[in-house]
Amino acid sequence: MKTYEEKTQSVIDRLRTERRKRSRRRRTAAACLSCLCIAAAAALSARYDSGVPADTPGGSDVSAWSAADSQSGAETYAVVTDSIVLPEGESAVMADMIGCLVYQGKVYTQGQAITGAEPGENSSFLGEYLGEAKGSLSEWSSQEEWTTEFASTYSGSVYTVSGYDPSFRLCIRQETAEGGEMLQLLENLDGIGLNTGADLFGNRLHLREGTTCVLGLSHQDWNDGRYDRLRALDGLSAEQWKTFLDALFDAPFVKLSGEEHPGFYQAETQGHLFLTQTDGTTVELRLFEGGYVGYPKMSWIFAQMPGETFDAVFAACQ
Amino acid sequence: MDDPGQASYRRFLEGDESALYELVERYNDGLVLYLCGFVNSLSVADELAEDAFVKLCLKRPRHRGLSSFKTWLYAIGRNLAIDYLRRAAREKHVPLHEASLAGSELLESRYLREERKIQVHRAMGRLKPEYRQTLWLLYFEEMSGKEAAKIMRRSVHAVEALAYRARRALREELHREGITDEDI
Repeated sequence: MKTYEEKTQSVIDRLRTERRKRSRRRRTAAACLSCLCIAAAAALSARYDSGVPADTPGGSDVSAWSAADSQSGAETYAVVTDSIVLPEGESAVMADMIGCLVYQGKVYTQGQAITGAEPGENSSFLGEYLGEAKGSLSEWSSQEEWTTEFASTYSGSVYTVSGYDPSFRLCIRQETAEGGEMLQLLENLDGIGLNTGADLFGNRLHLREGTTCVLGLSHQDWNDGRYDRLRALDGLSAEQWKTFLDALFDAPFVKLSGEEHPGFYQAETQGHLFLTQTDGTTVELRLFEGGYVGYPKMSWIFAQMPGETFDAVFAACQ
Repeated sequence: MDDPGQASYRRFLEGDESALYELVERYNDGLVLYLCGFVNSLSVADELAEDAFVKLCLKRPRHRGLSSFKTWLYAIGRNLAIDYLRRAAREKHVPLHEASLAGSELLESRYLREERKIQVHRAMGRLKPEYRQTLWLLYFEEMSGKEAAKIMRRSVHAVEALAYRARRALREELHREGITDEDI
């Protein structure tokens, strides 16, 4: 075992060696790169001029996907979720990167994971087989790697999920080292247009027909990871829940911002709902004062449904 | 909240090499023990931890501050360990249980300090890798379920479920050795 000093020195030595190598490589690559840039610019220009949407398989670069979404917008939406655009630079290094899959030019991000002790235990989830996820993406992947079909942070077989639109939800099936299996659900929230709650909670998640059980958690418990404290919502009748869902489906989506609402996510009073679905999946909703209902990974986009119906459910979570 | 790792890392990026020593001193042992839960070899885990520091310093990725520096470093280490295991599987090279007892004892006594924690850590070594990793992050590194989920690329739910099963398995291991620990 090296001492801390030895390890630090070893890291520094390796850094120096690597930097020297990279510097040599960069000089060699510079000449080639200038030619490539000209070719790439010409190809992109031709692609847009011809009106071919960039979200078809084999799309040329990630930032082009958001352009495609706005191009296809004959319909107008109350909000359009943020497209996943990579930071500029030599690689797409993101410290907080989450699991994802690239399929038909869209980035599907990590949702619920479903484990099974035996292979085939969760076969009811599996729809059509689409291909093999490469497990090729990491914090260090280049922009080019991100544009490859089935590029992903997980490896495994990609399927559609029974009962869900594949443009919204897919899954990757993996066998675990222990001989079981895991289905990683992935959701496409990449540059989608939304008007009312029905667009997400109805058309995509089917909450009205699918919900079998509603549990709540206070924000304090959620923050502490105390899922053992999930509980039925006291005093909330089935009729009230139905009214809540109706209002949620009708609620317009709004986009807030951190600048306008500083401390919004840090509010001490929030509510967390966990909706168990008939297929065994769980949908998590996050409630904020003012009638805002959020869905994981939608950051600053919320369905807004102020009123007594919201207040009753919000209070029941506390 | 202050994140000492982030502060040191920022200083390192500004050219202060002594800040790298601070990072190694603060995070190396925990990271090695965590990675050992994947690769089952202290020397491989030690090399992977060094690789994680090299990667961190060489690529100079942006740490956006949405998670702690430790969460970030462990996520990088985990990716390296998974890559290593993939390579090892391809090359039909199975990591061995090495006879590096002295090194392991040194790390345990330096990082875990308390005898009871060391006993628990050794019992954890007999659990499934997934259980070991979950328990390490939640109980030895005292991370929240959310932080552990971020590192393990699982949902918080999945981590909670894993932690539940892991605790049960650990308790059985400890009972087998005649140790009762209601805190586990």
